[in-house]
Amino acid sequence: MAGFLVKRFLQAIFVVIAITLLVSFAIRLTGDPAVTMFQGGGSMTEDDLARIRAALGTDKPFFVQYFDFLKGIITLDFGRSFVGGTQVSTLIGNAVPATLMLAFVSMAISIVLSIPLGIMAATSRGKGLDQAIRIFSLIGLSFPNFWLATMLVLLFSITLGLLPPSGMGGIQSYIMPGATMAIILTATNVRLVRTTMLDTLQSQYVMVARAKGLSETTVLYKHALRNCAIPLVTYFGLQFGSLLGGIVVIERVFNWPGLGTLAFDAVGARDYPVLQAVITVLSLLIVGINLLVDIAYGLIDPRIRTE
Amino acid sequence: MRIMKRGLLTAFVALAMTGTAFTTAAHAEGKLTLSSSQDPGSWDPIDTFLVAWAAVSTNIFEGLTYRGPDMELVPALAESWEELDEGKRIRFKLRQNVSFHNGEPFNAEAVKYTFDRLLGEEGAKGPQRSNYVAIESVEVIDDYTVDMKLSTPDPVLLTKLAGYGAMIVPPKYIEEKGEDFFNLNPVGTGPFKFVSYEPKVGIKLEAFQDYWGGAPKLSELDYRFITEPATAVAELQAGRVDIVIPPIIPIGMIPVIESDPNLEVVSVPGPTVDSLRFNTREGITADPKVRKAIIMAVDRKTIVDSILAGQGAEIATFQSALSFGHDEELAPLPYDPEAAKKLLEEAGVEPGASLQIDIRGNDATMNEVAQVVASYLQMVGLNATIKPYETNVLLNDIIPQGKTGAMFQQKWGGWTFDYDNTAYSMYHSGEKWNPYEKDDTLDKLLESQRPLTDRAERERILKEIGAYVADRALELPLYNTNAIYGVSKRVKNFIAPPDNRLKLTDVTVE
Amino acid sequence: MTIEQAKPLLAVEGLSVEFGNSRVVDDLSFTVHPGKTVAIVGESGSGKSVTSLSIMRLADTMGAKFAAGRIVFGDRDLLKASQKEMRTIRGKEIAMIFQEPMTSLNPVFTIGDQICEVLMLHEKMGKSAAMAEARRLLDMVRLPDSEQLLKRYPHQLSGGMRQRVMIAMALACRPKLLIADEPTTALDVTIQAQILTIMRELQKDLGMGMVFITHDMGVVAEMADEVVVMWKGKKVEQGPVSQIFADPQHPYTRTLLAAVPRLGSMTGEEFPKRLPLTVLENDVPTVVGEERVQDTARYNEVPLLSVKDLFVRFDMRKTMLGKVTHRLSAVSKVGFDIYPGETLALVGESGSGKSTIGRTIQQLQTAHSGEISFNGRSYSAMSAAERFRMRQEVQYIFQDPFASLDPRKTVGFSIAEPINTHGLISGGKAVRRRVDELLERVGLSSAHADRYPHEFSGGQRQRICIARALASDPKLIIADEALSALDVSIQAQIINLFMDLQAERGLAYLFISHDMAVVEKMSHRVAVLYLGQIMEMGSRRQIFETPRHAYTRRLLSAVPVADPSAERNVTLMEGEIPNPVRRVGDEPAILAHEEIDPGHFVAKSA
Repeated sequence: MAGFLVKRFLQAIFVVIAITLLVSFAIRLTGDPAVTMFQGGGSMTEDDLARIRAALGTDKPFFVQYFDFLKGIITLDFGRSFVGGTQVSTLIGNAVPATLMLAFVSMAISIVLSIPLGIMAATSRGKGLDQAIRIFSLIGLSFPNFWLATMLVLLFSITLGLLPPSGMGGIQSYIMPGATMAIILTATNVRLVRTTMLDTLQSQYVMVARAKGLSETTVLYKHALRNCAIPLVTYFGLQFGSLLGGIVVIERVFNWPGLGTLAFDAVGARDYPVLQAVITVLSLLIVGINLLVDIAYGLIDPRIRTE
Repeated sequence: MRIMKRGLLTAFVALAMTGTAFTTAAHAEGKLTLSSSQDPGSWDPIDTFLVAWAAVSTNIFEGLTYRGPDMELVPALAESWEELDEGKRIRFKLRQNVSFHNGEPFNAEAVKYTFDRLLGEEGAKGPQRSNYVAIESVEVIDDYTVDMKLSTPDPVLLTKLAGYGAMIVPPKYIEEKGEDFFNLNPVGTGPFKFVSYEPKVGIKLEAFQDYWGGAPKLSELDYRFITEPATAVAELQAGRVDIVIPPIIPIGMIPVIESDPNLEVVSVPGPTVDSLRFNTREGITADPKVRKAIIMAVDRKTIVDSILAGQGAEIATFQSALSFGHDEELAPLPYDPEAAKKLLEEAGVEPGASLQIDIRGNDATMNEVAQVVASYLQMVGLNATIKPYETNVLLNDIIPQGKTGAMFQQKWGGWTFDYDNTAYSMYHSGEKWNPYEKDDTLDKLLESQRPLTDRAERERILKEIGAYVADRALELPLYNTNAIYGVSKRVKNFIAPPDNRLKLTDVTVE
Repeated sequence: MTIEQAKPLLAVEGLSVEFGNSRVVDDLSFTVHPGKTVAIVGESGSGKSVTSLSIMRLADTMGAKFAAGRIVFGDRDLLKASQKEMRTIRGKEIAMIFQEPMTSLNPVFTIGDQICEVLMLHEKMGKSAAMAEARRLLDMVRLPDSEQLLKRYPHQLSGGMRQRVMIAMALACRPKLLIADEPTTALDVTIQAQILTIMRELQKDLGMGMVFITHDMGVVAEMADEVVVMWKGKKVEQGPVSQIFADPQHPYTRTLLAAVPRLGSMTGEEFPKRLPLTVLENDVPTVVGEERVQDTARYNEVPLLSVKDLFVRFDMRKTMLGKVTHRLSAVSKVGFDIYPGETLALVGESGSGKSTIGRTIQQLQTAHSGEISFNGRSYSAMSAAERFRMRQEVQYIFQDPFASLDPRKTVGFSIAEPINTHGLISGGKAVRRRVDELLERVGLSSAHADRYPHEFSGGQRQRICIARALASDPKLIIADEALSALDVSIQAQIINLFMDLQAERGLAYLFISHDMAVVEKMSHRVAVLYLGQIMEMGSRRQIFETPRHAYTRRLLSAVPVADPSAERNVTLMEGEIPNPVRRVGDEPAILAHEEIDPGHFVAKSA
């Protein structure tokens, strides 16, 4: 296990370096943050720009800047935002819990919904319930999340006045952003659970479990579900990555102070340090989740644990 | 299944309960909630040009002068001033018995500290300094008198002292707490004092009871950063935001607000102007006749009425009607497609000649406007293609390096409302926004007004510049857009400023 | 006769089962008495498994409809019971053991949990009492170290151990009736012998009735009191086991028994023999085909394939730095020759390394060391072109014909593929003609070329695989358990096809199998493998008539004899085949061989 962790860690470092290098390089092609700073302001001279560039450190060669950034990661000091000069670590520190909470709430809602629905669909394969669940999941899949979010806001905030339309606050503020993500996730997850379950239900041990006289609930939720867990956990792990991507839009619509909002603003302002940090943290999160998935394999499947 | 049903029911009950809780909380007495489209990241006056900064900070900080929504320059922390040495020295008499929110007294030292800081090492890190380079030094005459020495006279300086980088900051506080702390915990002399700031979420202020102008009527200000227009409007509709500060409300959403009996749209002419500048160096637009023809081919009034839904005004020069240097008399070239065709014929432009219009990709309004412009040009036989650029690329690369098409978007919104500010950057040779035009006459005109302290003479020259540019047809002047506020009807005494600098001293809520 | 008059434990009366519109069991009746075993025999598709699942009412979950009949257990009709009532019967009064021990246990729960589950459910035991009882049950099926075993997971157990766990689990609540559906089919013969012995003994101890479903007539002879022969969903014959074997009445029973390869049936023969087949023609058993001595091996020529000192090892565990710590020695110092026209059989049980050798010859696996030569040319000395040519001359036939055919390609395409790859014939028409010829040669028709694999039965698919192997005009065919998945009647036909092709074309076969009776029928020479080494090698006669090595003898004695009157003299192998994964440096001892007769080599004990 230790060897495995070390290997994973080295992989993570490689991934972070590769991704940040790419992102850092790409964003520097899109414009000068010094110029952005003067937008809306008075005239600027080359002197002014040079002064600002020196203050921001963007006058240094790219690899020097990048190396400074890498050094910063090790000391957990991502530098300062070009917008306002706040410590990037402070911004990240505020945004990570917000994003993770939202992501976990969405995943949790989706998993809690999709497992029973998927199992119901699998056990009633080809019948009305199965068809209904599949049609709903198709509808769910075809919603653009932006549109779905707007519709939810119109209904629950403006027409019914039940939920706050945006912002992060109490439990009620999680409901709409969580549900928006969850509806879209559930649409795919239900299908996945259904397919995996159908496969598992063909297994001999499911028949054996029935032959023992176990109730159908025990057969499905104890014997079959545990065995579905490996592909499902793998998929949920992968999905977490794309979930973090999708969250950017959701965060913006619901004005959620997470990594997505941070990244969105940072791109607009050419705020390199913030963007680099967000990308680093996102890739670390994804690597971390995959690590958790690997550890979860061991917990779920003794074949992996005891090897 | 039974468990699931029960769970859902509980969830709905909980929802309904929390739901009622939040709507009542939003209408707290004496508390005003505003949405602002951006988090400036730092509250230090010298760090930023963002209007989002000013929308908040006008309530925290004050300058020596103040310019309210009526655009009149009035005394603020300076009770009076006089220009000496032919405009190269200004003497300010400071207001007495004023203190900062932290109790620190406001005096001549604070003024000197503020400008030393702005023009020194700390100011060099930020963009604001370049606006105040005319100031050579600030000298303390006595506790409440300072002299500001200028290297050259700056006719706009007194206006500039009313905002942004010239906000007076507390010396002891900054020295003791450090610059980083000050960025996030601003202290000024304004009517509201800082309570808390949460990056990307919002900033909260409370009434400063010892404000020299009398305590404000509101007890609390809560600014929330909302970047998405639909979200800001939804919050306004849900009653969780009282004022939506521009620029965020799209023209298309105005009817939504207007149809809500609790809300209203307050729209004032803003500083922002849009034009399509010509490539005057090469191509068919190098010929002034062609340029004039293009201007006459486009019905700008229809554009303002239909696309801007009236939320703007036609312009003759590249400035707002509120701007110093604006000429009421100067009318834009009329819409006359027949004359345009004739001019094109005279210039020898073949029907079907093509030209390219470069615009900012993220500017939804301009995307629409450019379509209409193109179809007007089509009617006089010009084939226009629209090329939307990523905004930063257009601003940092395409325009400064003169790689534009025949026409390109210029957008300007200087808060000083002084035509000099705009015109110099736009038309003086060698300026970043002026890649094509080199005109000695124009350069001389622009230079000549800068040292003048005689406002009337300076205004005359600025008008002359406007007329000259219009005559040379350097651009197709489009419109000056309004600043659109969404306001809840519970807000009283709110006067919308054209420049986003909201000072909420007299505002009350029901 | 007294037993016959007593009340039966289970009475199936006129049972008909349908799936959709097809009737898979038709008017089936039989009874099972306490302490007695009824064997249901039949080939694939005969409806025997559906019968067992119908008794458990598990067929319902697969969509079965019970069109007619009754299944009386005790005094209730199980077909009228609700699933809820059935749950109190399943696992408690009627238990079942399934064919695939490898997949019958849930991989994510411990052995202990899986046994306890049934005890806690039906016997209302607490967890610790259930664990103690589970341990007792594991002892009962003679699994060593039962305490530790309770905490282990199925994948840590061999197939034989898993099947014993399944038996322990099935017997946990002392059921009145045990249904065993092909319980030993997937196991090695020595393990099969162990399991059968255990089942017999436990049945005696517990006095259970047993329904034993199998296709293996040898197993039937050993286990059954009463036999029900099923064919196409119908019972064609029923009777006491001795009567069925001695005097089969129904033509189908007669052909079935005729097709069963019997160990020892070739005693006294020098060479393999192609024997005529009894097949059903219009429901009348008819003997077809010729009898021919298969004297095809050309020992005077250079060996076609020569394997010398072959070692194949798999790295099983590594340190963090990639240093190998544990290895599986799959093949150790194996050497043999195959002559043109000869059939050499590699026999052995799971883990003996027989398939690895086949794969190494086909270059699907790299050897650790050793030399393989084809036509006198060493592999290592071959050029790329020679290797390519060799791939044409050495062909492979696998156990699972379905898995080795591309389901999206027509059969004709699959057969033509090696012809085109090796450029043996040019021109679409000529290739098509050759495909037609090949299909006809393996007993199919040219019309089959345009169909897809799923349209064929298992036997037909294996014929297609043979046609494909023949397409490239090989000199050597490696047949890896190529007959194991087939019903006996089909198996007999394919054996004859193999022998006919050998006689016609002078083909050599490397015949990899665990089935001693089939090997006896068709090989010239036999090599017995155990844990990667050759224990004994010699001519067919030497191995089967004068086996010298203890392992060979044990293997032979474990094969069930399809004769209920035969005396059972089984030398039971205790325990399991040892784990072949060893620490690096602790390699298995290499056994030396002694030639006790010309061509008869026996490994000396270490």
